[in-house]
Amino acid sequence: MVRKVVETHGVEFSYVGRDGSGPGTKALDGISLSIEKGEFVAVVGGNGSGKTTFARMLNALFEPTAGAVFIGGIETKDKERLWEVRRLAGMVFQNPDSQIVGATVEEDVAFGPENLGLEPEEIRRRVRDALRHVGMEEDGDTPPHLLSGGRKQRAAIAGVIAMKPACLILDEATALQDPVARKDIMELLRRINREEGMTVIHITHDMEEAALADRVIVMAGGQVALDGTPREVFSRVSRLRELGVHAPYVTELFELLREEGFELPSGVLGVDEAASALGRMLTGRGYAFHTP
Amino acid sequence: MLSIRLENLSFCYQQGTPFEKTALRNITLTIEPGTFLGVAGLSGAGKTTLLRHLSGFLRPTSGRITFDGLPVDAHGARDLRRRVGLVFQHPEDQLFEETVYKDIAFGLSGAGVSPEEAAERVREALEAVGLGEELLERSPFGLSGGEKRRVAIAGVMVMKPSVLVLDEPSVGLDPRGRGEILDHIARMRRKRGVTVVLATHDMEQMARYAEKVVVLKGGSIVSEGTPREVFRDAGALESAGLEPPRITRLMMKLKKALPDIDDGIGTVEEAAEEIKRVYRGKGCGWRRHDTRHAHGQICSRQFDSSPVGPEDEDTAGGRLYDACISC
Repeated sequence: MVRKVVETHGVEFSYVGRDGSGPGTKALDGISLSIEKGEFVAVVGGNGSGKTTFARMLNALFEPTAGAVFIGGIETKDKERLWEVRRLAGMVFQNPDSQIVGATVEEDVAFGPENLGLEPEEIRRRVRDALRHVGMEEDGDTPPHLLSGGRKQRAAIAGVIAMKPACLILDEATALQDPVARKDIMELLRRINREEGMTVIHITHDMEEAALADRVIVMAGGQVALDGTPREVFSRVSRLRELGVHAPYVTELFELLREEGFELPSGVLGVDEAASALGRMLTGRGYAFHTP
Repeated sequence: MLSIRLENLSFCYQQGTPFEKTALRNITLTIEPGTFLGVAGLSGAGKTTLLRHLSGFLRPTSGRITFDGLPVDAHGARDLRRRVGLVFQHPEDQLFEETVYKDIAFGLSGAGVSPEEAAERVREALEAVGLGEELLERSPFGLSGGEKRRVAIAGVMVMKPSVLVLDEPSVGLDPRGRGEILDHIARMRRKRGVTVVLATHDMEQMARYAEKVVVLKGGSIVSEGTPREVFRDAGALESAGLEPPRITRLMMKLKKALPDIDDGIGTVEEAAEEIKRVYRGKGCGWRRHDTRHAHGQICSRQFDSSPVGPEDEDTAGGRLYDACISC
């Protein structure tokens, strides 16, 4: 078993110039990082920071102009093993409608495994397992268009899981969803990560979601600008602003108060934690604030 | 200026067919000229259907909608659409011209506007959405997602509508793009007194921009009022699948220990001010029996001066800061 699910060395990528000649803008400019099995990584950054290009690099939709990308130990340039790379780097896109092909949820989830040329029995097993992982055992016969946005995205995730990928890569998969669906998808991802040890790479514009990851990578100008735990990354409020993103709201509030001289912890992420710290400061006694 | 009134308005898609679906039920709502109204609700709650009635794209199945007291037909649908500008979801999908200028000016063709006036209005619209004139001769398709969306909004603004209706204008944009679009719309509204109706499920945006909020659930209004009134109406909000902004939730928790704190606050800046107010009100003796303040902590009496630092330290220990002794 390869522990490093994703490994990149000095990856650069330039889109071809508009007239088709010569390299255009450098979308990725020297990305070296590794992601280990079981990590839950959030990737954030402004538009044009290179997030989506990076995701497509992992899925071998793009080939680096310089450097190398390895997925589960396989180099993405290796044409012989292209389909293996694509299977291992399972992608979920922003709009589930652009990903769903089947007439029923079951058929849709079976689409990938069928194309792997598996035995019917194995296909059935994989579909069953994948639907169980996303909590949709009961929805196998449902036409996908009758599902809510959140459940459609769940079905899309099941379709990727049925391929037994080494990691799930979600390219702004929550961006078009409403708050209930977002929460639903985040809970699902956390659970698959925890219970199945699935590596998750979640590209998002929502900093509250990113705060739920184990590790946050901030991209800017095609480079990795910050990389650390949510607490480390989000405590750097002014740097984040320069990079075109922001910290979660309570983190920003704490940094604002700290700048004015209040003794408060830095990198506070959640409402409960923030309420306890502020309550202590304002009442002079320990005060437990828990969500009922 | 245009005042819009909805009375017992209901709307049903594909009425009389097996696919009949009621999208709005008995909506009564007045949109006063110059208001910033937020329409909140989950997907399928009826936000888009409501917005489409405001510019006469849909006619109510029952009940009525009037503009300055008159129905759509008294104004003429075409004329009304010029006065009520609707920005659809993902408006950038509708860009089609060769240049940004042509795209923004498109609505003016056939509106009897001279080329000089058209040029002036395109420039104004561009400024209102915060884009620079250097973009005018570029192709709209070479712009970033946030820029494209702003060009599309400028194409509506160029018609100088009295009411600007925006259906989730910031969905899918990065954090900077989201803030910029709404900041520019809020600024434009202050400058020109335009009515703004914004559909979103982002409650942080409601706290920052809206004067009045209606919350939709299953096509009905379940809560209505100023943002702070709506945030406090926790039961209704929760039933609609929404939550108050995180900052409001923090303030609500603090209120349990500090009854005089304002828990209707929804933005970071207001919360910082409120916490400073409460802290100041506590006086100096609140925290400990002695008068020591740790480094960097502020003596409340001297709140507006700079924080105390190590240079103020009395090495003899004990009472460290004169200002605090007198507190």
